[in-house]
Amino acid sequence: MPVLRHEDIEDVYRKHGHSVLRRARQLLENEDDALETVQEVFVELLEHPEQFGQRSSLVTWLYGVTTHRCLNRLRNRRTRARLLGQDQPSPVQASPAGRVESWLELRRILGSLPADLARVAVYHYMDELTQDEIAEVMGCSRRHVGNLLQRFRDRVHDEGSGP
Amino acid sequence: MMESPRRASDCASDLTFDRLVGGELVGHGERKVLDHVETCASCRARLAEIRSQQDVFAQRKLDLPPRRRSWRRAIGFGIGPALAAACWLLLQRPRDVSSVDQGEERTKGGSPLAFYVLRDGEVSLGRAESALHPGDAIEFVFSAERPGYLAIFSVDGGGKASVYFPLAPRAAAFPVGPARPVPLSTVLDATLGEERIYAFHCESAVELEPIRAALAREAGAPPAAPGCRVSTLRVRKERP
Repeated sequence: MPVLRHEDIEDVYRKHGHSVLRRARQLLENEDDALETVQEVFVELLEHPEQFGQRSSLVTWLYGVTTHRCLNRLRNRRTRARLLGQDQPSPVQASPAGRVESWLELRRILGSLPADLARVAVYHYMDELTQDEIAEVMGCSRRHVGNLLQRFRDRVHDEGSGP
Repeated sequence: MMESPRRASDCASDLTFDRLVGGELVGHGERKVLDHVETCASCRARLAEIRSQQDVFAQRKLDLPPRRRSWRRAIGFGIGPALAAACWLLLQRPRDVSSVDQGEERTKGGSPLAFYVLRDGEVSLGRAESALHPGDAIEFVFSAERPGYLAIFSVDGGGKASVYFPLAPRAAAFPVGPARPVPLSTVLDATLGEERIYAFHCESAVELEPIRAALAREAGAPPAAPGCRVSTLRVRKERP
C-alpha cells in the first residue's frame, strides 16, 4: 500500500489542484465550500492513497473523488434545508423527451438523486464528457454509463410529469 | 439547453486538458490533442485558460491539519544518514529482462534495488529473505548507472500485483547515482506470505498498467518490456 509523503502530496496539489478547485466551484457555487472540498480531497489522498490504487490516471481519480464529495455536500445542504423547513421542492422542468433543461435545474435536483445517477449526470451534462471518458472516471463499462444516463432521463421525465 | 454534450466531437473535454497539463498525456494522445488545438480557436483558448488556472493555483499553499502533519513525520522517515551504508549495494549491472532467468532469485547483493525498514521508530537496512511485519514502513533506494525511468511493482502473498512507484500511469524519470532514494514510502498491509518486488528501469516512460497486469497473471515471471531492465527482491511478510 503506497503512502504519500508531504512532498508527494504538494507535487500532486500543484499539478492537479486547479482542476479540483474548478469542478468544486462549478458544482457547489460557493467559494468557501469549494476550498474546503479541495482540502478534503488532498487529505483523503494523503490518508488513503490505496483508493487511488491501480487507477491509470490520477486526474480521473481526482475528478471522481471531487465529484463524490461535492455531491455529498449538495445532499447535506438539501437535507439541512429540509430539516429547517426551507426546502421548497418544485417539479423538475422536463421536456416530453425527458431532457434536463438547464444546468441550474440539474444542480437543484442532484442532491435528491441516487449517487450513481447524480455522478453520471454531472459528467455528462456539466463536464460534457464522452461516454468513454465517463466510464473511465466511474470505473465501469461504457454500456453501464449508457444505462445510467437512460435511468437518469427516465427519472427526470417521471418527476417532471408527476402528479 | 443541456440536452447533450455541446462541444464539437473533435474538441477535447476539460478532463483531457487537465490530463494534458498534468503531464498524463504522452505520445500519440498528447500529439492528437495538440494537433487539434492548433486548428481550433475555442480549444486553444480553453487550454490557455486551464494552463493559467494551473499556474495561479500552484502558488497556493496546501495546509493540512496538524494531526496529519505529525502522522506524516512518522512515515517520512528519511534515509539520508543511511545512504553511505547503502553504497555497498551498488552492485552488479542488471541484465536485460529478456535475459533474466525466471527461476533465479536475485537478492539484494546482486540488485540495484534495496530498501530500508522503519519499525517501532528504528530504521534498518532491509535484507532480502528477511521477515517483515504488517505495518512496517519501507523506503526503497535504487542505483541507476544511466538516465532512465523507474517503476516498482509488488506481488504480495495473495497474488495481488500493485504499483509501488510512481503514483502515475507511467514510469518516472530517475536520477543517475548510487542508492538514490525512491520518493515514496510504503506501509506494508496485512497480507502475509512471500512478496516479490520488481524494479523496472527503462529507457522510456513505459506504461505501468500492462506490466502490472502481466505480473498479476504470472507473479514469478516479470514481463518482457522493451528497453527495460528488471531487478527483483523477495521478502517474507509474517506476523510479529
